[in-house]
Amino acid sequence: MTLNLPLLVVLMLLMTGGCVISITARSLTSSVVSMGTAGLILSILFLLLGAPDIAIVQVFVEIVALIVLLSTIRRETRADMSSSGLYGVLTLIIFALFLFVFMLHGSEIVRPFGQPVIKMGAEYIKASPVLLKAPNTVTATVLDFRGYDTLGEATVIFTAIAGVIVLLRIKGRKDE
Amino acid sequence: MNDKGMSEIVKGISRIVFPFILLYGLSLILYGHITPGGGFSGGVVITGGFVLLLLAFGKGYVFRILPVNIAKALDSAGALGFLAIALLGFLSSSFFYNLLPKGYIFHLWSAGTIILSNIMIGLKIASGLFVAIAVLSMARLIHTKEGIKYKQSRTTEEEDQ
Repeated sequence: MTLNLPLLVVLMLLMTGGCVISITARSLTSSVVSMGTAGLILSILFLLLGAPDIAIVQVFVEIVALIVLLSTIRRETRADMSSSGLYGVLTLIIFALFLFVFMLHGSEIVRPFGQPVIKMGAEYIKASPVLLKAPNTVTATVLDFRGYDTLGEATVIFTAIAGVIVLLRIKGRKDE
Repeated sequence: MNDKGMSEIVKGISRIVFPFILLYGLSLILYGHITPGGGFSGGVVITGGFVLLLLAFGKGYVFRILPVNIAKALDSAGALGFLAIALLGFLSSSFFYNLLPKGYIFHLWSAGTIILSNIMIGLKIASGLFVAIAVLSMARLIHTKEGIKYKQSRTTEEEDQ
């Protein structure tokens, strides 16, 4: 698969722009909308990088999250965000510089692309069409080879939804 | 004919599009081991369809199609079903052992327990996310003289009172 590098760079810059606007925007609505832009561009990036499974999830989760956030803003909030000022921007720049230097040093010890430290993935790719008869290696890995992890994720989601139900319950609630 | 929710154009389009969204989600779940997709993607797509109905028609309509209590039960059933598939492996050797016959590659009924796991995960994600969205849509903060009070309303009619 050939990567269209300029397109990827442009999309990444757009995504970063969306993130920056969502942090610095004055009104909550424009902040949420630019966050949604960043998420949708991220799903296009996933698709271009050859991960359609994640791209589908990203599109729909982003849309649902956008709907929830927008309806929350419309109904519950009146106040706008206050600007963080010069101090916040300076902190951000210093943090970004530290991160850049750190990653520059870290990139020297990263192994080349396609030569991971853990060789298990190659075995999964070889085994999934032969042993499991599953052409989609991602699903075969997630649900068979790494079933424990998926069970853990399912537990996390179950707990999160139980938490939402309990926090927003009506029975047995005491008004202060 | 009630006039809750959005305009008639949005309602008409949603009514036409909703079965196709459901079908796409189901195909993502069932063909998860052959094409890109799987339980999580398909479940999220199905939830997206229900959210579309929720926005277009209002709460009362959606909760008549899929009541929240049934969705809660389906959520638990999906989680327990996935655990049961994992425990099924003990019949042969170990936890998560894929003991069903594998069949032929590119056939729908192949890859052993993966398709069953996909169905269970899809059920769990679709109903669980729907419950979360539904509970969030029912929650209201009411500003009264004594302060802010919390309330849940199951239908749009209750809200107007």
